[in-house]
Amino acid sequence: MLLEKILTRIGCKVSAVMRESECLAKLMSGPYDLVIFDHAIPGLDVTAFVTQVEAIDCCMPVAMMVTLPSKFYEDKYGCSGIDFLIFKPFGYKEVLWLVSEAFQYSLKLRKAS
Amino acid sequence: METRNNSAKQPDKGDRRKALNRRRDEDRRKSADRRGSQDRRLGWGKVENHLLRGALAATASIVFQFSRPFTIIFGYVDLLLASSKEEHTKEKLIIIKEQLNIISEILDNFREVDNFKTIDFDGVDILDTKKMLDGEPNEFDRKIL
Repeated sequence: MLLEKILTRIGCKVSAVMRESECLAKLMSGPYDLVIFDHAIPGLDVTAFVTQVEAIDCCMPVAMMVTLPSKFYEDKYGCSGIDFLIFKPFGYKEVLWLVSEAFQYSLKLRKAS
Repeated sequence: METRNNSAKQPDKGDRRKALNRRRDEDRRKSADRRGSQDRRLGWGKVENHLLRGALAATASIVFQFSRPFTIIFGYVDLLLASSKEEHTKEKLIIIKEQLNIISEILDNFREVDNFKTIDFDGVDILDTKKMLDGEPNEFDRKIL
């Protein structure tokens, strides 16, 4: 829950969950500006999860925390609707950049829709 | 068309021609796969391709295993830097952060490995993962020049 601490420190209001079902339930209960999840969650079907998130709110950016080379993710999840990849290890600065970029992107999407 | 009696040749026992092609003055074996029988079990293809596949698997494993613990260290160092008021502690944390940035760059270089190239380090071959700088001319640029 380190990311939760960093995001709180930046000034974000954070909801941290451990399971996919909890995440989807939270998203259905109210609007969020960004979803960040880890690629290495055991048993998570990334494509199905992102499709479900898009079905709930198509204007909400989705970011995935990753470790492997970017080409792997481009080939495998290029068309899945993931908007941002954040490569581990990352720190305060990278999270701040992600949040500001995602917020601007979300605003654009909401205006366009 | 001229035909020759090839009765002396024994096709069942393989090609018995000499290694040197006298007409072309070149070694017939140069395009052949010269791997040993054990290597052949791995499948066809150039040895370099197998080495690259091995290197890519190794670099991906390193990046995958090391990235997670370093993210935790990175994050806590950042949080400590933001909350610490002691200058002495901050100085030390900045040094740790600089070293973590170097590790982060090394892991980025490992992610970008796309060819098998080694450099000699005191007699030991190590994988060359150095990124080419934007200003440095590459092979393609040199050809243009």
